[in-house]
Amino acid sequence: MELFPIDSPLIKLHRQAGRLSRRSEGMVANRNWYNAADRQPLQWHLLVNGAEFSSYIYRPSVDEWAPGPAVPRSRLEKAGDSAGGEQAREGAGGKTRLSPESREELQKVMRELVDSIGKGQHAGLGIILHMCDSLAIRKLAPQFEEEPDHDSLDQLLIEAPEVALGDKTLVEEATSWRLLSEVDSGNSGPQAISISSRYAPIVEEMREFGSSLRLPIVVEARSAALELLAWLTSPSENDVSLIASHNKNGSVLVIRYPQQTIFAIVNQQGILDSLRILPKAIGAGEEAPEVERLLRNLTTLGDHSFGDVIFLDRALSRTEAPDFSSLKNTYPGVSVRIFDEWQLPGVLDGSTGTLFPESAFVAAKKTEKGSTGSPFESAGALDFYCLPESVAARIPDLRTLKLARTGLYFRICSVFLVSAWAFMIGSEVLQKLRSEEWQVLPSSVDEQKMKLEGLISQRNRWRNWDDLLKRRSEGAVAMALPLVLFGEDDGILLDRLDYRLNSDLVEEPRVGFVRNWEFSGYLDPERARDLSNLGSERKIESAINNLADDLQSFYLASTEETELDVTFQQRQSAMPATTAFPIEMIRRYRAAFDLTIRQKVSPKSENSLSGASSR
Amino acid sequence: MSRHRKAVLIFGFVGPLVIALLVSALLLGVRSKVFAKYELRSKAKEGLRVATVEVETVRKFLESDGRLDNLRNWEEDSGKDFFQLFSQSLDESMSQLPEGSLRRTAMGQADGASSIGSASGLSHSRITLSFEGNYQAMQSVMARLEAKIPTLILEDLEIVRNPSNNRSERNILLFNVTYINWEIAESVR
Repeated sequence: MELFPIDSPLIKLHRQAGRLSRRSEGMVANRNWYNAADRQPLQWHLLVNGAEFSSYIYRPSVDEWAPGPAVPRSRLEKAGDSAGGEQAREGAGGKTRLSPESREELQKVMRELVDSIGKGQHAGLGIILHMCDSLAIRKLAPQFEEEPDHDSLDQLLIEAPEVALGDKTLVEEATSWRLLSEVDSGNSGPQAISISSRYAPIVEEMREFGSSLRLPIVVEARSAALELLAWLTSPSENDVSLIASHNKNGSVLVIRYPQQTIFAIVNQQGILDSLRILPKAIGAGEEAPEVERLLRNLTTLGDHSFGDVIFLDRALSRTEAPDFSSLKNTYPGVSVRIFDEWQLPGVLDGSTGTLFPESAFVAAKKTEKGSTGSPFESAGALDFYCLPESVAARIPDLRTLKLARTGLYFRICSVFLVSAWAFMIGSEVLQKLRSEEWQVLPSSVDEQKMKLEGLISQRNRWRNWDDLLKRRSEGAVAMALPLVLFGEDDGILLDRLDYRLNSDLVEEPRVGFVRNWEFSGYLDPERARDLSNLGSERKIESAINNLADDLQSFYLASTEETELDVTFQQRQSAMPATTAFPIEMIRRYRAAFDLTIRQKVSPKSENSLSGASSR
Repeated sequence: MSRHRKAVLIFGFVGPLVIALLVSALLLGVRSKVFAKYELRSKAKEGLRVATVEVETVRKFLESDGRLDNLRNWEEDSGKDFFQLFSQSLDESMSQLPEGSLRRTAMGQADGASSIGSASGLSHSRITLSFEGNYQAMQSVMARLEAKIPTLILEDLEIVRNPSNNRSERNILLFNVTYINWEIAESVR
């Protein structure tokens, strides 16, 4: 599982978080990804004592220890070096890795363990290397002695120990450093503590294998000595350290390993005061005074006071304990107790003996439960092969992964909602686009309106023409009226006819007019007996209406909008003497007459004329 | 806040939200634009329907009773020279009369203003004619003339007997006729 550096582009980090949050990766569902090795449901504890591995399996659910699978002999090689060597190589140069064969063997063992736990939400394997040897303690570089930020200092030790220790000759790959801040071993500030990096390639291989299986395989490397000390100095159930002593000078804890001896000075309350490491195993071959001198030198205690001595070794059956007889002689009140570490848990806290030296493990468990009051309690759980913060930070935390998963659902919902909305809008839009209305171009309306305007213009022109060309005053009709008013032999001699069309009332936009007939002539009083007809408007109107019917000139007929005015005048007046008429005729026509007929057509009449303002 | 969480928040929530909002805004924009256009086209369709109905109505009106043909003829005639048309029509009408029944004695543009012409405000011309002859002939000529030139309207007609003492000439009537001709070609177009 390759992870991007934390300073990678955010988009890459987001994709990575998305990938890790997937169900197939199981990082969200299985909390064991984020649990320490000693919180995993199956734990593989490896006690590394020099080149010797002791393997144990622990199942916390049943609190059961069992012998673990044998650890294959590891063969390391530098990157690019196919030959390799039997043992771990330490020193500068290319990266040291397991040889392919060793890797295969290790993976085979791990696979068997993994198969036993199966897969699922509760799968998880914790592997803890308890390193018995190679513990070293050292002062920090002077500029960091007063550094208050211990976390940063710890990171500096992990990533750049040569800087933190002020030693450029330090070989990075040889040792793994952490900060030990709880013990004041005569110095004013915290100290650096280390174990060998010899097994770092194996741990790395284990982690990589876990990543490839997508299973939480959490690997830690702890110092067995620190674990033992953390456990021993932690308050027990009675709030008293397991190694609290009646001696006012406390105790000297001597832990012997094959290649070094740890001296821990604890006070009467069992709290660790200082820590010394002798890079050799004090053994049975040494003389008693030498042991006493060594203890005195290392512990810096005064001549007349000395604490109780507790000697621990896990291989007492094979190697004898040192001779403390000289010490006992010099300080008669001092008690010297010698334990095989295997027996220690049962002896100190009354528990039954178990297969694994629980001291290495119990301390860590106590530390997890919370502070027990011991300043040294967390030192036991220090992981010397921990990932540098810059690498560890590559793994997103569980909350971020859950957030990424929520983000995925959020995006799916967003896409669904937006898609649904887009579909709805698309449907609506498509419906509109397919509608008949959409096919109508505004230009077609304009074209139709232009066509309509053209037709309306034609219609208006036609109406104007039609109105204008209405028959209103015609010569043939005007001349027909006297023919119906005057008969052939009715004693009337028409001498003059004057017809005129005059305008009358104007009511915009219509113009009324008057048809005016004026007749004059002579009468034969004896024959012209029906003159009353000529003076009767009713008779004249009837005559005009009849004429209109006869000539199909309906405009002439009387309507409500027409007004007829008839004036008939008769007077005695003889015809002037002329040779044009016979004398008898002149004598007979001895009266003259004037007849005026005015037919007034109102502007309201449909026959009125439409003025220019309406056109 | 760790970069991991920042990345998840930005690309998992804020980015998609912004994109969703942008897409939504875009969709809304497209929708409102299409709907606005649709409204316009709906109105256009209604306008087109109304205009089409009106076009059909007006077209039917014009095509019925030969109105369109009449209009074409009227407008065609109105473009012709009136006096030439009048003289030609008059000559044709008079040629159909019996020999000696009517004689034109004068023809010209009338002086002064027409009463109805002025009142209506319509463009017009006036022509005055004098004839001598019998009544029927004059009536016949006027009927033919008015049928040929529908823009003519009779303004004035005066008929008197020939004042001659000669008995034969006494039956001859003297006609003074004034016609108005509407020159409305321009005003109605």
